[in-house]
Amino acid sequence: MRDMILQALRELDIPVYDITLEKERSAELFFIRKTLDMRRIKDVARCAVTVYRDFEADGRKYRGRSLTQIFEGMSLDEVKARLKSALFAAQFVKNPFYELYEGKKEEPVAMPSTLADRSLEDDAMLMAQALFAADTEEDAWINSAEVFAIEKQVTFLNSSGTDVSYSRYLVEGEFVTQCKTPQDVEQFFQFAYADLNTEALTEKARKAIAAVRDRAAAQESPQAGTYDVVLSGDQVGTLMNYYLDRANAALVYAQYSDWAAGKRVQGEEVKGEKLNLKLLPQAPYSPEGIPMAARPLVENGELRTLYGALRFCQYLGLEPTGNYERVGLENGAVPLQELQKGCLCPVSFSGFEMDSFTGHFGGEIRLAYLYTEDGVKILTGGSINGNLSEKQGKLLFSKERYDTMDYTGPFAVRIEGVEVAG
Amino acid sequence: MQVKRSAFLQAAKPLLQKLIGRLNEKYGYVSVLAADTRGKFYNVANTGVNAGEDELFTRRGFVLKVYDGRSYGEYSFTHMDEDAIPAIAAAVEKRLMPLTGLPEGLSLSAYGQIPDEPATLLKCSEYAMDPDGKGDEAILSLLTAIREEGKARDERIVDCAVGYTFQEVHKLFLSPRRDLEQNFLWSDGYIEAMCPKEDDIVCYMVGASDLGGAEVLDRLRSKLDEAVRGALELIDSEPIPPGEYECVCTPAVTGMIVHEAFGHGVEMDMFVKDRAQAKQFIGEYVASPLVTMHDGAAVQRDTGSYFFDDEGVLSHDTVIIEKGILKRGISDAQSAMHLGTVPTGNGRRESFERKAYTRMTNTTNTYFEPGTDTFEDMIASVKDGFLLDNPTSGMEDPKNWGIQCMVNVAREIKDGKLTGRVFSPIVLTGYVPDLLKSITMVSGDFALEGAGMCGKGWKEWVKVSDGGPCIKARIRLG
Repeated sequence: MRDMILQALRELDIPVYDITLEKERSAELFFIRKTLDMRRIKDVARCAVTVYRDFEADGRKYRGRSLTQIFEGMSLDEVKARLKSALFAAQFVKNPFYELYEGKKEEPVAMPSTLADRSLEDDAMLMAQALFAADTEEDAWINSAEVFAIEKQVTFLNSSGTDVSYSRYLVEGEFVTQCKTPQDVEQFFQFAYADLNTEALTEKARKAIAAVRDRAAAQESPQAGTYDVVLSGDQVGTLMNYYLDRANAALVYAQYSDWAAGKRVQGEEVKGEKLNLKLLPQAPYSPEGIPMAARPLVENGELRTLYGALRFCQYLGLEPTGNYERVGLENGAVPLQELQKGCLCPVSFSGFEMDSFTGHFGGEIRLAYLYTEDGVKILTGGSINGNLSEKQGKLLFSKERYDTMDYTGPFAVRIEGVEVAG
Repeated sequence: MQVKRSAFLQAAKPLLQKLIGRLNEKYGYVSVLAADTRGKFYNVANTGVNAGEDELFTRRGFVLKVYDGRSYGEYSFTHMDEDAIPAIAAAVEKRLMPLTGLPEGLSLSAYGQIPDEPATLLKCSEYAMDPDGKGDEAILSLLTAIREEGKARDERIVDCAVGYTFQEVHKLFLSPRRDLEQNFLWSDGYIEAMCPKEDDIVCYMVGASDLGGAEVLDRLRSKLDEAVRGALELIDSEPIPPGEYECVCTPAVTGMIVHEAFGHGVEMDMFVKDRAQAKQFIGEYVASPLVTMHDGAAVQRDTGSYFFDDEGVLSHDTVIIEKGILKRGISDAQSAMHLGTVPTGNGRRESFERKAYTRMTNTTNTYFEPGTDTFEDMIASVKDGFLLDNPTSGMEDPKNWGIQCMVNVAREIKDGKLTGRVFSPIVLTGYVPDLLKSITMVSGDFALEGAGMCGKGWKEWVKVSDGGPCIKARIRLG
């Protein structure tokens, strides 16, 4: 397909382009309780070509672009028709000029993974085995689960000499835990690992089964009012998206964010922990072929790096970094038990939302623990509703760590004075 | 005008029939869904101008479903020609269906064979204006004009992002006895006005959608005022004091409640998994007698419409709640087999690359006796409450019928009048039947919208539409 696209680009005299070729294979298992309900495999190829068209208007130079999709089995004429149509559209896409990334041909990178040691079908079965290894009790269990073992091969090349490729493995999925007494409840969980991390999945499932047992015992909603709240697990990573999003060059260029390097993004007066966040790569290259590396995002509450796609970085006069979707938070010194004292600790929401534009975070509580001097009360229902831009000066983080595909850092964060609707 | 047929699918059809024939010698049931879709997006915002073919909406490929006498397996693939048939058959026979390594303690499901009832169908949807015919230049010029007009309305508008997307869908479903083909076109668009509020940005988004073409752009343009006015109001919005209030919901909020709070709960793959409380309430009152609720790709004309689902079941109009009583759920084919019910044409895939799940299509909350209440009467009847508007997101909870819906705006109502005070953002919580049973007034207005996407859990994105009339109910807000 690659050669045919390059031939079509040459014949159409399209000098500026980039091409992304992806191959994906997967083995997928779908369980209801401990019964395999459906199995699937996948072998697909995708190809996206962006063509660029330079033009001038009002004395300024512009570079328009348009994206098209090319499919296996297309003839040369079909490919040319798609590219021609995209080139036509690109002349109306009036964006200020910018350069494509100038790289070179690099050796393919195989991201190391223990998942590569056997077939995807076997990887999926082993992860399923690990998941259900935790399902040993009579009163709470795994209701249903989906397990995906995936291999992806990505190649990116452009007309400025960049020609890079990498391959990666991944196991991901979701499962629901259920407990029927004293009331019938469930909890939803997701997982994703770059290795055959069977122990982590078994542990996650064990904790998930314990959590659903607690939720079944929970009868009351929290009283409406203002609480110090401890958020944990995936919710901490979701909160950190506020910093990730606000530091994105696209948002800054569009004036949706006024952040700049050196800005005290937690405010002038920080009574809690000063944030130390890192940008962490998930792949060796960005979708525009830029080599990815770990970079500081926030140090001691001050923004260090505006990052982003090639176009926006060039518009802002920044070094092009590529887009990041994973952060590492280096804070956290307080033991979790101490952090939780006197706090409402929602551990599960029906959907936890973080709006990076407004700073608003919130969601309906599915399971929460209220730690008081009299002990721990298990609660369900109600919702929390807060604004991180108002609360971020008094954050405290746990010593215990948590690691996912898009976040690594403290397991929990304490936020003062959050409104709770009972 | 009618959507044209796909030359790619026409060319692939004899090869797919050959593949089915070959696999059918070994497997009792074999079907193929072939898809050729093309989606194009256009948007203008402070970030710049974009136009192109969307990856999610532009796909070409196949999914095979086979039955080995006990269970079902599926194979999604993109490479298809005469020479590929042996390799595809080998993948099914050697990698997919032989089940090896199933861990101890886990078992394999036991299903019957899908009844392959004979059917042939060829359907093409109608549209008024061809998006390709209108052209890239005209579409981008119109979006740019809407954006510039929005930004010019008030200097506090920092951006007015405008977008339009269409998708031309061609699908072929083949089995030994079924030959179904559908071709349809949907369009949607949005306007999102943004204003600064202290250090943050507040946004107000409006949408327009249709099973049709670029004609939707006229409807989109008519909503510019609403988007700009909404964003400006949010600048002075206040946090809401948590509590339970009398609320009037606009059709868009009604639609979100219907969809998120109730619709997901009657997706019958959740019945199979014992994940839906609704299963125990069939035949019982779950809502006010004022409420009748439908779902079906055939029930309304919008972005959730189609002629057959991704398992080759023809589209339906399913009455879910009738005068407050839960009558039935909606289902995909495999869930219906499991439950011994009739499939309702709701087996949908994000694309040929994904499994089919039970999914909503066009979900509507219609009313028992239209025209009983007017919007003005409903506002006048509220002593101390809110008009809820501009839904932003929601999350389902079929198991516990918990509500989590978020809306952008709650307008204060005191002594039957809107005071002009605006509260934002708002989280709706509570127990679904409590909310639906508390409905005391239903307006004669009705609106359906499908500008967004719906996920199952956190994935499997498909187009749906939802809506209804204005309703008055007691709702917990925070």
